[in-house]
Amino acid sequence: MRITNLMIVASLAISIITPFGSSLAIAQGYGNSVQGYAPNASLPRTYPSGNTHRLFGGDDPPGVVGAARLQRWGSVAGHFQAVSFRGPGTSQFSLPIDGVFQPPSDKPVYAGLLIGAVYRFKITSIPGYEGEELYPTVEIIDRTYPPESMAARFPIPINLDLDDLEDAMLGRLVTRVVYLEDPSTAVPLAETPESSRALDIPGSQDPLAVADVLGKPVAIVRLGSVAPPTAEALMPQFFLGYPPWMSVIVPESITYADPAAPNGSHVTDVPSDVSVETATVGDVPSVIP
Amino acid sequence: MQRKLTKLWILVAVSGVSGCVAPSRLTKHAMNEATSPFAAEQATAPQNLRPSAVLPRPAIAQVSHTEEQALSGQPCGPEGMSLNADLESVPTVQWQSNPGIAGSVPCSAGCGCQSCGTKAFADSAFPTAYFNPSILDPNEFICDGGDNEPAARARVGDQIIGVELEDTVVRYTTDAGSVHVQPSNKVCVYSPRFASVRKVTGAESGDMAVGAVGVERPLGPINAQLNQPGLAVTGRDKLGRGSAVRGPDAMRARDRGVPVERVLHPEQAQDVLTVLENLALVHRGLLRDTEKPWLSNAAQAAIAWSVDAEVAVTVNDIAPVTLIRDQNAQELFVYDFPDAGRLQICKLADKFDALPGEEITFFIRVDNVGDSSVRNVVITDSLVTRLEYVTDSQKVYTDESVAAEKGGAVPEPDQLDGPPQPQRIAVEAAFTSEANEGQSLRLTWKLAKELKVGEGATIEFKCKVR
Repeated sequence: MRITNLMIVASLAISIITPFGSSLAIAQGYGNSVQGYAPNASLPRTYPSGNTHRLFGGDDPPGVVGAARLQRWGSVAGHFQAVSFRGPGTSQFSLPIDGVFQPPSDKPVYAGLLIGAVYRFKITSIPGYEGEELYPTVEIIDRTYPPESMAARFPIPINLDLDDLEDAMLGRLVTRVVYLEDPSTAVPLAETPESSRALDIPGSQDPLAVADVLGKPVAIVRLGSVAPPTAEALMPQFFLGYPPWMSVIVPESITYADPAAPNGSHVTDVPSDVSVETATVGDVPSVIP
Repeated sequence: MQRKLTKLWILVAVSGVSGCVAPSRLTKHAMNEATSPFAAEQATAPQNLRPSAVLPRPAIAQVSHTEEQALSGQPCGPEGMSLNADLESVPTVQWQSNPGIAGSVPCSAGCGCQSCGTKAFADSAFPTAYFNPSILDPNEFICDGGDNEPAARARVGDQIIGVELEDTVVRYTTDAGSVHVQPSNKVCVYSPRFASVRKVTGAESGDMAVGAVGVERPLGPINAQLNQPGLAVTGRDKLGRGSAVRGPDAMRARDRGVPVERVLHPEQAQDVLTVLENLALVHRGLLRDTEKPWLSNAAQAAIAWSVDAEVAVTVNDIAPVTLIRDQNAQELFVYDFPDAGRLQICKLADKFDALPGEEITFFIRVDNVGDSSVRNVVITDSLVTRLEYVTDSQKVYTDESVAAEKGGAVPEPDQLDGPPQPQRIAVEAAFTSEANEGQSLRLTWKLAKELKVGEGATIEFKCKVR
């Protein structure tokens, strides 16, 4: 779903000039509303407003913002953040291992990605553009804090729609900054984990700054028309250093009869105490409920 | 069966974490602690905040993993990780978590790193994030309940003002006629929602600057329909009506002071009550066990003064007859007149976490824990933006074991599928809903009948997570 709300954009254009300054506030995005979040007493809980200059933006090269996140408080180095990839229709995603893309899966891909690293992934079987391939990048710039054993259930969704893919195939650069929405300013729209709602902003604005106002930016996706180089020496550059990632095994859904439901209907649920044996293993790189 | 167990466990856990809020007996500070979504740790919660008779269902499940068990395990080293693993050779891969501030993640009790390597992601030993406020992000939670500032107030005509988003309060009238507003506890569900900001940029062909296609210009007068102040002062409006307070014309007073030639100050002052004024019985009427020795001594001193040290007269060197007796205060009766009817309101959710699109069932339980009945009970809940009320999902009932009282057949416990379910009796209540400022609904229930001492009602409704 694409939302083009000029009024919202116009208001944001005014507000992002003076709010929390610098992209240091990106991951400190919970600046003034955190209860009990005091990892370092020397840091202010709120940041002064004014004509502050943002050190980082959405137009920075891949890896810059994530690397800056690693230098700040709240150590996230070495943390693998659960991420899910979804696309329109029959599109398929795959991640590389040692420079070789894995066989694409027609199911959503779940992976644990390092914060601060940039990953190249591959999109194929695009609806209406069969035979076309895209090689976007994703940069994880912050993490979430799910409860115990719930990280696979609440990954950061990288949900792309057909507009993103078409723009990329036309040679444009699409920058999507995924952010954790502030519930106090949430948009009253019914959504699902498959939703790919995006707020389109004009070229004069910084998507990272806008996302910082709306919530906490957690990932940056860049889609362009880059193709793999033919020269072997350029492969490390293309794969951005082969950062490691981890497979995420999602527990299977358990379907059982609900005696309280009428007509013996079935209920599908993933209980929190699901055992390890219920996890399905075999698909690469992930298993889908 | 499995589903029931899970739900019951969640209910018990939620009640233990958040606690129910009963009026009075709690200071404002204690109530804030009890209703804080992130500061409530079950092990450290004050005892007086534990709900006593809130949940009608028994606690049958046990917590499988405790934080102590997790901390007693060995920390997982890097060797336990399987990066870029080939799943055909490694059936399951281990998920390594870094809790950020807390450092490395220990395995659960009895689980070494080797065994951790074979554990799947879903069952790995994550830190119990729910109870560690230092690694929580409130943006990942949907909270509902409590009473945010400004506090809710009752007005004439059953109207409640000050009910903002998230607020859940109950208004009631006691037998004495006083009107009270009591907030519930706050319920938080882990439900992060993500969105994107998209920017599309493209290169111009030929490296040429492309001119502007058009310029947006305002056409015609803007906001001509508004009555705005003029830019120049063209006239003056006379004062239509003036009101002034006229002071007194004159004042007579006799306040001539009497001259004092000399003021004598006391050289020494003694106040026998000074040592007693800190006693709770003296200034607040409360009898505490720790103060009983002081009270006993004080009572003894009074008796000694009044009996033993009575005035005696000596005549012709003959000692007077002295009455000697010992007397202690044997019992002390303190009469406490409690308040009138009081309502305890407690809000629960059947889930700890929910994805967008899932449904959450909320329970609001009100109980009359006072000493007299209450009437005009109005419960209102203003849902937050991300909660969408499921139409016709609300019901109001109370749980009572009326089957035995009416002589009905009560099934044996072993014949039941699961724990015995209390019988539900519908409670008559008027339900209304109206839109609130968060593009959601404010739900209001007004109980038709009064709640007598010990009676209660449960409100159940479902919300869909947006």
